Amino acid sequence: MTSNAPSPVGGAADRLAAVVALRELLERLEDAAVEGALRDGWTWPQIAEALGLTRQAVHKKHIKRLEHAGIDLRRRRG
Amino acid sequence: MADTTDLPDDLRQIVIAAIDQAAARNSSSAEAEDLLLAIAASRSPAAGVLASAGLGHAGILGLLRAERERSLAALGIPPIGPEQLRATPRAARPTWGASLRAALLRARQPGARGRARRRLTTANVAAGVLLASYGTVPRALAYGGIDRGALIGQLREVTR
Repeated sequence: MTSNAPSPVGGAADRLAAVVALRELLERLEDAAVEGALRDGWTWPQIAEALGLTRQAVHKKHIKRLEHAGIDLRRRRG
Repeated sequence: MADTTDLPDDLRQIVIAAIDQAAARNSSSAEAEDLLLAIAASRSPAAGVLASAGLGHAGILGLLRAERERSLAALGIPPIGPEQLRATPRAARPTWGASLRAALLRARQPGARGRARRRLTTANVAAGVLLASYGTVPRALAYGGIDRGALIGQLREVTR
């Protein structure tokens, strides 16, 4: 907090904070979008292809969270 | 510091509560703002100091939300409705984030060892959070018109 230190708001600080906010938003959007797609009947391979990721990566990231979400995951070939 | 074993009992509970705060925000890591939320929700003298500046738990949540909205607005991204972000919470417990670790390190008196380390108080940790120069907490407080320096001084008075 010295006088010649950059401010935490404005300029570069705002651009860096935007990265943090976007990263957080991206994670939340992905969680919601993957869950919504599964509820709409999408399969893991379909979701992975739409996200441009491998099925294994998407499955590994979300399966624990969604195991008890009331979605029938047995038909999803996950 | 990788765990809470070298913290006094009350601070161990604060860190666990901070991880709970992060989980409630569905965040994968507990950060300095979660420590501040946990302290604000505690029954400690530090919580009283924070509340006197308008930093009760709800007040802090409001400032954090406003900071995120302003940061996204700078890119032209409007606030996104909660229905678009609704998701089942993550199963894994949030990990200790870099800013939480940094706040705990700043909370320690320089050169403190042994018994002095264990005398660390909640007010020390609150000051450690507020001493950050950059990141979410200083931005949220700046936008909220909170005088960080004055608050740090009041928290240090509590620890005397």
